[in-house]
This record gives sequence, C-alpha cells and structure tokens, in this order.
Amino acid sequence: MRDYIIKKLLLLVPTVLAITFLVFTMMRFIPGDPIFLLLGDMYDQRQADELRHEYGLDRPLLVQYVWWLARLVQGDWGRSVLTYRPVFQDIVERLPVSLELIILSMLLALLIAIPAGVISATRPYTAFDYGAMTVALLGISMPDFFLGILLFLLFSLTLGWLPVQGYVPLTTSVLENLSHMILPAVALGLARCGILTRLIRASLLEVMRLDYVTTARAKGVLEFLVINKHALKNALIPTITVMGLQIGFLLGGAIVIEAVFGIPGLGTFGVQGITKRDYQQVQGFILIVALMFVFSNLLVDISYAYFDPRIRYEEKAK
Amino acid sequence: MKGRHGSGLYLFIVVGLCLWGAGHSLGATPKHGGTLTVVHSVDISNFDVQSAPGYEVIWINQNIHNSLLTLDKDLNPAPDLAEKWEASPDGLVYTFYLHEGVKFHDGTDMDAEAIKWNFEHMMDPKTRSAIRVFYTDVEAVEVVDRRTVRFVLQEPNYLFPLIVAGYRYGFVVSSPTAFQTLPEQEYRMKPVGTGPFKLLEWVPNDHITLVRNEHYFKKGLPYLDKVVFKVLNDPMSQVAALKTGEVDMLNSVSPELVRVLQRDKNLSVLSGLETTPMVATLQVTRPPFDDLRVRKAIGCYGTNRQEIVEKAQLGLAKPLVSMAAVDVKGYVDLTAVCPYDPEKARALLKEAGYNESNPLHFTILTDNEKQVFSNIATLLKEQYRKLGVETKVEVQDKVTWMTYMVGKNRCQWDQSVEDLASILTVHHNSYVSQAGAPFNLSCHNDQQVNELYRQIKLAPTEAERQQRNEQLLRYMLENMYWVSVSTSPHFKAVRNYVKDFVYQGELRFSLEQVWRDK
Repeated sequence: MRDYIIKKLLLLVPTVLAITFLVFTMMRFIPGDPIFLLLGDMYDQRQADELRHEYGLDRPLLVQYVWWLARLVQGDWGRSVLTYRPVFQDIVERLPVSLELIILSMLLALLIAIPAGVISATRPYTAFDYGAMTVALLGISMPDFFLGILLFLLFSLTLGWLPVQGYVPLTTSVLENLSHMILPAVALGLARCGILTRLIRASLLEVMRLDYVTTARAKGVLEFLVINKHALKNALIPTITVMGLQIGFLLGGAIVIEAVFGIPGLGTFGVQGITKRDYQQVQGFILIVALMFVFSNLLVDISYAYFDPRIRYEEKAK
Repeated sequence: MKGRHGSGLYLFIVVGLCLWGAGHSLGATPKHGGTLTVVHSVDISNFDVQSAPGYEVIWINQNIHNSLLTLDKDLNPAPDLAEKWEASPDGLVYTFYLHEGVKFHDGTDMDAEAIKWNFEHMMDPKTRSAIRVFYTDVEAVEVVDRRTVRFVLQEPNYLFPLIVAGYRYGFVVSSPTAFQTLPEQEYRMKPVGTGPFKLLEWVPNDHITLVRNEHYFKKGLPYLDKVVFKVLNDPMSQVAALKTGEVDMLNSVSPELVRVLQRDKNLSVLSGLETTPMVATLQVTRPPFDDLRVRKAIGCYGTNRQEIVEKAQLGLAKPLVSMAAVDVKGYVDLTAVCPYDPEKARALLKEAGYNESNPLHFTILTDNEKQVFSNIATLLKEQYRKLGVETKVEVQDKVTWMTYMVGKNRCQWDQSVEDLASILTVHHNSYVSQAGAPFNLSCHNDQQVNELYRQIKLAPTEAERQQRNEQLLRYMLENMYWVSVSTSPHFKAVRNYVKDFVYQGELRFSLEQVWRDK
C-alpha cells in the first residue's frame, strides 16, 4: 500500500507541472496584460514598457516560467502585479473558505443521496423512487447560480431567515458561519446530490442481483444487514470515483456560487486574476486547484483499498 | 364667534402640521454613530491615490483623504484643506491658505511643505500619476509659510481651481512621512490621509473597513463610526442585500435593476447628474473612416440616438451629440447639428462611393464590462443595416479591448462603443481627445484640437470660456473626431434612513456628512 501511494505521489509531480505550464502558456496567448489595467486611460507606451521590464513580462515565455518555478521551489509564489500582495498569503486566507464550502456541499449531498439512493433501490418503481429520481433530475438540470438566486430570494428576501451575502469565519462564530454558508452549500450540493442519488440507486440495484447477496439472504441474514453491510459497500465504489471527479466540478461551481453569495474564497480570487490578466495570481490559483484535484483523486484511489479488498490482495500478491 | 373659533382651530392645526412636517422633513439633528455598508461590484487593486485604477478606489480614497479644494454640490470649487484661495489677475499665480492644525492619520502635520511634497511626488514619472497630465503648466510650487502655498504657472490657466478640486479626484494629499517610512508595497496598502475616515482593514475581494477619524479637522464630522465597503459581484445579490437591509447603499447600479429598486418604498435610487458620454467613436486614420463623408453618414445622420436611449438604455439616458455630457461645465447642445436622417446618410455614402454593389462594411468593437455596450453595438448594427451598411459586432473583454485603444492593436479598428470617464469640464476631456494623448480614441492628429483646448484654459472670463468651449465642441463634431450617442447615467441606490448624502455622480463620493436616521 505504501509503495502504491508513493508511486501515485510521484506521478502527481509531472501532472501538476504540465497543468501549470499549459495554463502559463495559454494565459500569454490571450491579448493584453495587467499593465493595461495598471495604467488605465493614462496608458503611456514608455511607462508600459518600463513596467513590463520591471515585472519581467518582456522576457521569453520559457524564461518567465522557469523563473516562476524557481521561486516557487523556494516558497515564493510571487506577488500580484495589481494588488502587490503576496499570492501565497491570499491563497492561505481564501483556501479554508472554499474548502469549507466544498466540504459542506459534499456532506449535504451525501447526507441526502445515500438514504435516498438506498430507499429508491430497495423500493424501485414506487412513488418514493419516482419522486426521488425526479428531484434528482431537477437538481442535476438546474444551474448552481440559478438555484442560488432562488434560494436567497426565498430564504433571505421573502422569509428573512438567512443572510443574502457575506462570510463569517468559523473561528468567530460557528452559528453565524453556518447561517452564511448553508444557502451556498445547498446551491452547490444539490446538483451533486442528484448525480449521487441516481448513481447509488443504479449501483445498488446491480449489486443486489449478484450471487453473494442472494447467498446472504439464503443464509437468513437480516435484509437491513444484507443491504447496508454487504451490498452498499460494493455499490459505493463507483460513487467514490464520481465523488473524486466531482471535486473538480465543485471547484468550478464554487467560482460562481462565491460570486453570487459574496464569499471571499478561491473562486473569486481566480476569476479576478483571469479577468485582470494578473498572471501571478492566476498561476497561484491554478497550482492550488491542480493540487486539490490530484490529491482528491489520490484519496479516492486510496479509499478503494478500503471498499474493495481485491485491491489490497493484488498488492499482497505482487 | 363659532366661525372665529373654527378658523383659529384650523390655523392651529395647519401651523401644527407644518411644524411637525418640517421637523420630519428636515430630519432634525444628525445622529452620531453607526456603520454604513456600501456595496462595490469589484474590489480595488490597491490604495495608491496617484495610480490605482478604477472608480472604486477613487470613491474610497475620497473618504480617507482630503483634496486641496473640493467640489460643492453644484460642482464648483469649494474649500477643503485650503480654507481659501486667490488667483493673481494675470492667472499665473494661485495662492492657497491652508487650515490650521490639520494632521495626517499618522499624527504628522499637514502643512505647506506637505503640499509641495505631494506635488513633486505626483510629477515624478515613477509615481505614474493619473493626474500629472493636468499639472504640466505648473512651473513651481512655493512654500510661503507653514499655512500658505503658491502655485506658479507657465501660462495662465483660469481653470486651475477646478482642476485642483475635481479633475479625477482633485489634488489629493497624502502623508509624506508614510511614503518615506513605509516600503513601497506597504505604502500602497496603507493609505494615510487627513480624511474623515481611517483605514482599519482590507480583506481582499471581501471588504474594506474604515473607522472614524477622531481628530478630523472639520469639527463634529464625520457622523458615522464605521464605513464598510463590501465587494459583491452579482447584481441580483446586491439588490437582495439592499432590500433586506444587510447593506445600506449600492454605489453603482446596473440600469436593468433601476426599475426594480424604484418600486421599493424603503429605497431611493439616486441619479441625475450626467457627466459621462456613451460613445461610438470612429477611427479616423484608415479607411473607411478617413473619409469625413463616411464619418458623417455613420456617426452623425445614420445614428438614431433616440432609439438607442429608448431600447438599449431603457429610457434612462439622454440622447447626446456633443462631446460633453449635459451636466459637464461648458456643455453646448448640438443636437440640431446631427438629426437622424437616413436619406442624407445614404446620399453621403453614395457620394463616397458606397452603394448596393459596393457596400460599406466595418467592425463595431466593444467590451463586456457593461451589458449596455453590446446592446448599443447590436442596435447600431441594425440601424446601419437600414443604410445598406454591413457590420460585424465584436465583443472583447476589457483588457483585450484596451489593446486596441492603447496597446499593440492601437488604431487597428473601425468603430468602438464604450462609455468613458466622467468629466467635470469640457477641458477635462483633453486627455482622451487631443492629438498626441495616449488614449486619444479616434487617433486623429489634428493640432488645432490641442490649440482649442489651450484657448479654453486661457479664457479669463466665464463668457469667453463658454464661447471657446462651443468652438471646440463644434470643431470636434464637424470633423467627427468624437461620436457621442447618449449620456451614460450613473445610478446609486440607498436605504431611506441614510441622510445627507450628496449625489455627485461618479465625480465625488463623500460620506463626511452622512448619518443614519435609525
């Protein structure tokens, strides 16, 4: 198992490097740079050239990338050209906010999806099953931002129960934090909930037709244990794969949801960097997103070993 | 007898009601305390008063700093750090008398030396000041005594007090000590002025908090304890937050949301000062618009400005032909010069060699900063189609659009739709419309324009200045160096308990006298 993890970790390095290089190159192909915004309507070619030189933007692309990488190795993620703030500091401040949003929405999705999926699979083609699948379809079809708007129109504007916008750190007040995060988490989590409900239902239905489930039932194992101990564990393997992939979608969704609810997370940081061509900011954002994505996939790989013993046996056999 | 009593009672009730009403409408005495939360759609880049881009930073800095002079509610120069000023009869020397005992937030003195340092700092090319261009006339700044400072000009400039008070955001004064002691990057994060509020914290992309300056030199001001500038990108969330009272003010409202906000009795939508033009500039240095006949056909007679206002601007703007918007000092109504006349436009195009077998075709460039730009561009495309002209609309993001205006693609476009900076006077527009200006949109190289701008500032009386303003505005229109289509109104929305806020469009945003009646 240790070798398996080390191998996976080593594979992450070229993956992350390739991603950062691709984004670095792509950003430079978009016309314009942050100097245009820095000088605005007082743009002066001589001053612009001086600034480009100062920030190293006049150097060849590859040199710029190697410089960025060299500084990164020394722990320097660079400074934003526009705000002059250290990129790493901004990321450290925003990462917990986005992580909290992603974790909350995923938890919410699982809390609803697992029971709904199990009940639907054990009572297929009943009113509950049709109802759950219809709601799941709605969740998948509705864009996050639209659901977000509907939610604050109802819970904030009409009922006045929850705030429309803003963020209170967990360390300041747990209750305040949750009151601000619940609507964004629901808006972001509902689509994932729909996907997972449908997936759990389908997987469970398939597993329940397998011989070992029939054997368990023949041996007189309680139906509750047959489903929850024997069938569900196997049925969750494809769910975990999809959950890993959903991390990427959650990050994408968080960009929009953070903007709708005024949450100072990584998403708004990344978008701001892209629209303002703040290269250092975008590089930092992409690097952290890439790291989160590959690590979540690594966790998924590792969790297979728990859910599917055959993976461990294969390792032992080798 | 009964009648006398009846009329006495009537008089009593009327007087009573008047007094009660007066008490209510005047809002009685301003109350101290409270926090005002103001929403901005985008965050600032940094606080550098000289070079940070965007209106948002100007509005925030106007509450952290003071200017040498400021603008009153009618946009005339008014005392701020200088309690009075005087000009020499020849218009060459301006003397400013400073308030006594004004301190920067870092405790250092704001005196004549500080004004001189601020001027020199602004003129240093390394500062990259956005307002330096307006002060190139200044030959020297002299410290007469601690409270008196003198600006000596190379040639008369009778607009100088207006420049100091309100070009961009006036002659803003920062602490020299802060600049000299703080590292450059930190200085841009920690503004130190003399203003009614001090910076408490900046959480990027979330909020900026200002707190009351206890030692503010205008006694009793400000009334608010705290001001929070909250960043909220989504317009729908902004509206919802204002309606629920989570925030108190939206500093810039999209026209599409104005009607929604106007329906709420607890809110007021502020607008009315038109100082920004919406333009559809033609690039005059290359075909087809190097031909004045084509420029007139498209920019003058072929543009239905009324339709643009009604359909693209939802009836909230005003049609505009003149280079300056209607509330800019020196505005002249030139609507009659360019009536919508498709027949005349077609005739001019025919004269220039364009017809059905050889149709005129060009690209309308715009950016996605505001939805209204692409709406106008699409409407123009349709209007030009009726003239037999084929156009393509190209919507770029703001930075890409800027590469066409000032970058490597400069002057490599045909027509561009945008709204430009809010300006105080016709002369203020020189930095985006005279020959040689980096942001000279139409790319013309007509030195006569520069001379006309110069003549405006040399005019010693208001009447002469107005005559020269008109001369310039007509010249720009005759040559179609500038194509305005409408005004570009600026809306703010505020909850009704916010009192004594003076709406000054995009030019000025002061919370110095604002208080909460709650």
